[in-house]
Amino acid sequence: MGIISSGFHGKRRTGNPALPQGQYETESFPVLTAGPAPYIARADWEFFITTETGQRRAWSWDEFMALPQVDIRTDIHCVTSWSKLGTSWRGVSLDALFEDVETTSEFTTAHSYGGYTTNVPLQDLLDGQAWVAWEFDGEPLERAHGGPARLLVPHLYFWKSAKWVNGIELTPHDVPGFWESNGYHIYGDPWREERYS
Amino acid sequence: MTANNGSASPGAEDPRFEDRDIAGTTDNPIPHLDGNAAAGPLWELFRIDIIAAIGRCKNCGAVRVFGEAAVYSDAPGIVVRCSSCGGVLLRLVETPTKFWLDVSGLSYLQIDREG
Repeated sequence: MGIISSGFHGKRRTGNPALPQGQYETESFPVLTAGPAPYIARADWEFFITTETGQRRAWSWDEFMALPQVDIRTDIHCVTSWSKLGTSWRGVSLDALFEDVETTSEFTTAHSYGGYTTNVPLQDLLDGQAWVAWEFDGEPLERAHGGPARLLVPHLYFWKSAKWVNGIELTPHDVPGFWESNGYHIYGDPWREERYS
Repeated sequence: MTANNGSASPGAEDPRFEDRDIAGTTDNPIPHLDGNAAAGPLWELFRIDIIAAIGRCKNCGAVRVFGEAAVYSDAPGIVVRCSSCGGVLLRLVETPTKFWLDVSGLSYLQIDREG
């Protein structure tokens, strides 16, 4: 019996090509968290991007909602072995948020309300691969799942999709985040089963 | 900013309690356990009964019995937080080949000697 709670109580489905090695499909949406869920009113929420030169851009909730909104349908894969297929989200592409940001950095750290961090290479946030999502399954994203808004980087293990996201810091080096600094993989590709460091 | 710091009394109109799946009390928006939940794995590692140990939080300086700490185990690892400030005291991750233990949130642990 391991010490890690998978939050998963579904059935194993083998042979499904949509499931990476070692993953199981679940119909539910398990809540995994490293701490209490912060409460952030939309009026208090902001999303920032800071660069290596100290430039800072920030969007209020209203400014964020005025950006182009897109619907996303994607599979998500949690490192604790559950996968949820065909999930529906709505949010803003990181491409739109980075449109006027000038940087030579290759790495980022996502910061969340409550202190959580996770590192993602910049190229994994761009070209239609990542969003700041605020709606799940047609409803405002529940606080338990990261509402008002969370990062959504579905091609990496879901710990990279930081709940309660507050902003992105461009960094000169790849700086391990909360889980990456304590045993988990620096990159986290589920199709290569990059779970642990 | 966090629910932990909120001072509002629980009430139906309080938006903090809209998410019934995580609501409980103002100070406990997500179910967590006490220090006992981390005792088993730490015993497995060090053969130390940590429940009665006294630890000092590096973040806020609170000195408290480990058993009073808040443990979040529905996660990719075990996260033990200070019950005074919510800061992370200890993280424990089990991989197939290693244990990863981070105690950088503790200034010290004071552990009684047996007998």
